[in-house]
Amino acid sequence: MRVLFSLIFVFATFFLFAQETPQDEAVKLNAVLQDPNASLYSKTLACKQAGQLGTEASVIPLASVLLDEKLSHPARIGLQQIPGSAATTALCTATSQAQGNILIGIIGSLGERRDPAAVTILTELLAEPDSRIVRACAVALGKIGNTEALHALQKRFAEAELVQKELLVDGLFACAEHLKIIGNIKEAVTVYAVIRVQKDLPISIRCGAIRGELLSQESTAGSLLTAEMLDSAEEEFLVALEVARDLTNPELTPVFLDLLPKLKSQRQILLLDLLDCRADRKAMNIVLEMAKNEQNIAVRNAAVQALAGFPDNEVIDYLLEVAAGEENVAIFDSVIDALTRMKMDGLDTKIVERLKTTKGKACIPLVKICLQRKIAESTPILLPFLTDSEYEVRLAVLQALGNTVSGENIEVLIERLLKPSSKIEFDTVIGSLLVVCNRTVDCDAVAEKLAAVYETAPAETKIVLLELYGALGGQAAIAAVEKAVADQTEAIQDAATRVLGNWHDPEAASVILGILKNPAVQKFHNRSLRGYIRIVRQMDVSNEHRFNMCLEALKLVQRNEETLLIIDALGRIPILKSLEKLQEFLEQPEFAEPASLSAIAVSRSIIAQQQEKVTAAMQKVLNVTKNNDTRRQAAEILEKIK
Amino acid sequence: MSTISTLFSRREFLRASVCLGSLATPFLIPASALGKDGNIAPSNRITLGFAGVGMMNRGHLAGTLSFEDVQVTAIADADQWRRETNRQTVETRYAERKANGQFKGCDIYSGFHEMLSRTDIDGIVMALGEQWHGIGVMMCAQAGKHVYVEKPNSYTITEALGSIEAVRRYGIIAQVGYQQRSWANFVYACQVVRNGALGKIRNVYIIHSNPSVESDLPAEPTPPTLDWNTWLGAAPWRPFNHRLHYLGNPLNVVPWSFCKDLGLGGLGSGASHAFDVVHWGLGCDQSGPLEIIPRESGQVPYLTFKYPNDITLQVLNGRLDPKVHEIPKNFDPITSIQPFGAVFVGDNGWLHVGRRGYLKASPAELAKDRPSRFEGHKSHVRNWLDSIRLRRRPACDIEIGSHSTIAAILGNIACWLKRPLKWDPIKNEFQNDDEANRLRSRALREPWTV
Repeated sequence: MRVLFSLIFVFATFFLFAQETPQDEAVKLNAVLQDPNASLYSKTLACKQAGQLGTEASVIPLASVLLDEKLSHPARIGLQQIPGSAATTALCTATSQAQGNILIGIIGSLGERRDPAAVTILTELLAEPDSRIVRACAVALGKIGNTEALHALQKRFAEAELVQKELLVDGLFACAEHLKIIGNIKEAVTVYAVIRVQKDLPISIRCGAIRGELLSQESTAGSLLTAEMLDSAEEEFLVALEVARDLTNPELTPVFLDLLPKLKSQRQILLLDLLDCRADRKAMNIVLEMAKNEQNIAVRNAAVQALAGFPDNEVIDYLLEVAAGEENVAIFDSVIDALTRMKMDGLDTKIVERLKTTKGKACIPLVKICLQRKIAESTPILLPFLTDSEYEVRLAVLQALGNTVSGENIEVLIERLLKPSSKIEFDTVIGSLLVVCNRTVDCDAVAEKLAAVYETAPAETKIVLLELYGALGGQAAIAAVEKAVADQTEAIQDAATRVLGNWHDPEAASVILGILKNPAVQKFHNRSLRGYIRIVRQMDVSNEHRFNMCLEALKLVQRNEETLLIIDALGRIPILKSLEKLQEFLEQPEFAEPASLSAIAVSRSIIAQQQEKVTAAMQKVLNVTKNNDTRRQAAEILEKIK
Repeated sequence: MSTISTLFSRREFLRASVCLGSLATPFLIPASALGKDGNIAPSNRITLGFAGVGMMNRGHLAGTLSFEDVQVTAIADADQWRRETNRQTVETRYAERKANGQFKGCDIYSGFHEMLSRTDIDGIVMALGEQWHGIGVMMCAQAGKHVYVEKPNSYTITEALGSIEAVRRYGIIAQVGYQQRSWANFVYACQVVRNGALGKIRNVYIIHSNPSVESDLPAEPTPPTLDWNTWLGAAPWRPFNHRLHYLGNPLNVVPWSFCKDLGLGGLGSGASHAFDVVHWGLGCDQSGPLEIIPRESGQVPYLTFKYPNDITLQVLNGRLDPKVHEIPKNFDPITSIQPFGAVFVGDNGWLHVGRRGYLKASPAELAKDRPSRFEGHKSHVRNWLDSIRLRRRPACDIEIGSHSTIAAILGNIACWLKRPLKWDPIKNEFQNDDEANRLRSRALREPWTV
């Protein structure tokens, strides 16, 4: 109660603040902060509000608790945001008495205020022996970032031991960034260079310096890039590579090409990837040459992949030629990858044209490219390969058709489903059909095509067709699956009910309800009921309709476990009727606890419109529940209503 | 012949094979990292520490443990049960590596900062809560650690901008966990929108509009197995309450997010994903809205964002309301707006994208080339790992992710102040509103400074 009272007091106080003078605000703030009965939450809230309003008059009360262990942070939340010199002065003054964590916090706030008036005091504190304070000061000076701050950091850096230098660099980096913004590139480069040459500093810091220096002088970055990529530690090379991705100047391409043969293989691989991304045509011939003749297989592989960045007929011809005769699996995959990623008008047509004149296994790479690029125009060219004597060719084509065939000509795949030459072919065609069905826009037209073969198909194929209906969706598909539920074969009934249970839109509800009411398929009752409730829980149906679905389901439950599912679903329907229905379950001991949780969930949603009904329901929950957490939640709702 | 169970394994097979060609990097990387026997050389493994192992990071950990070229060597969590249980998961998974001397064990820490001084850790996967994320990323950058950070990736605008600055300053690879950036149907959807297939975009709809609220939860005894002070990070100190952190096994993803001192409400935990999709589709990855109008202002029925080119985004409660909205042609108003997705409405049609492959459009032809549900679920963490190897910007680089998070923060600030705000996404400041500008940052609780 005391907490509640103090909360009301604080809110009321703030309401008044808006209409009072800054001096009144300060008096009230001071009263809260000095009140021994006010909670920490109330005091923190008062400080936050003072910072938000930003009146200078609040500085004095906030400063008065700056050294208090519990209130120092809340006070800084306020002070850090208040504009003007008074807040900076208060923070600077407190540094003379503050110690340890409190001092570190104050230094951090001075940095965030970015007030140059704090530079003198921060510079003095840089000489403190506590490394945490030195680091905090360096960061703060970096945020202020003026000439005085930079000089203070540079001076300290020059005289510091190695371990202390490390503490200063973040501030120096920030200062260098300020210099770049105001156009003083030369001075910024000097800052970075001083850090870069400190070989004993941690590599992450030196990488920062390399990065800063490179990005400061893009036009002359070539020589530094060469140095960092050629004879450097791995991390330095990697940071140079990362920076190089930001340097779009085409004049750097010759630098990279010059470097390429001088690097070790792993670095060559990464540089080739960079050349791929830069896609500067100047690099094409060298990359192509490496793709053709490089002896190191990993590097050659990378060169082949990098050709994706050079959409050119010569490159395409080479890649297609390699694909047709390449035995190395990695290189083969890289060719497919490069041609898949390559962006060039007319490339699809070129691949299809090539496919027309290719025979036997040599077509496999082209077929794979059609698959990856989803080239619809390749479909009529792919179809004749379905009768190819080579098993691998037939399989590759079946797989590709999944991505190239549209619903309109799905028959070509259905035909193979009905007459597969092997189990793996059967499985492959199923995969492709699933993809086509899932992509199809005109679902009913495709469902008709599936229906045309359903009746005469063997049972195992019928089960597959039912799965395809599921992937397809739509009215015709659901009607077909509904019909299958009445099939005499249990395996088909089993498949049909499972497909319905996973249906991806709510139109399955009425069909599932029909199954639930059908005594002939009671074996699948529990599955069907779960599918029905899944629609209530997850799908786009109005709340009224969902509630009525729950009522229907309740008439058909066969065990408590099913009732529990419905109770849970009712908790997700935020209308008064749900709450009323749930109250019936509160009276049944076996359902009282789950019904309590659902009633709480509904109550939270309708509390604003139905205070009376919610109050009654929550009191009922308090009467029946034995769970402390449930009691607490119900009590919270009642409290909110009060 | 096939049974239904093999049908599903076929789907997996198909998914793997369909995705193969669009993943360039895995071909390249093992070529340099693989030993002769096809195993990854231990020295080529990326070593990771996990910071915070609640519901999100437990999932990331499970996925990461399946990557042969990665080794998890440390776990940090303020909750003893969580760090010890997940260490056990790591040790079990790496039993073989341990037996052959490739793995020395997984160390555990209470605070994630304790991992940063280790020179044998390359990157941190962070899911600590937004009160930690912004400063956590800056600390990782300063220590030279790459970082995968969950969303929202900061609590304040200043921390979001500071994260970008720090990541660039030290050249680390930082990915934000807006994972739709790695999912095929979102890639397709945003491409359709960006290519102009919908015509000029007029309206966008998303959901999850609630901001965080002031909350004075009663003090409960701090569990001895929880380092509560570390858990709070730089947020204002408050006593422990179980609604902020479920001790041990997590019950939900972000229990703290409703609390204003610690989180950004549904706008941060849910809508920020949607903002990311919207920014992607509208081509404003590195900018943001111009105006934010909260419902509380009485000027709009829903929290509203105005984007450049006269585009209006509304954050709804679930569905379009025919009484308020002009229902786009062929759009069923009963349709729930997809969580973490968006509806884009243009002069020539609309497109609705969501998770689990959800993609609907009008005219329907706009969706005809969409990826099927059986392809395209690429690992966002994997994308980050590949980016580390190649030193490329990841799918949701810190700059992109931070601007999505900033949109969620802007929504919160407008709701807190209950008035319309004009935002300058270039200067990153509110126009003519000092009070709002003061809410862009918050003093860090000592001893944290970045």
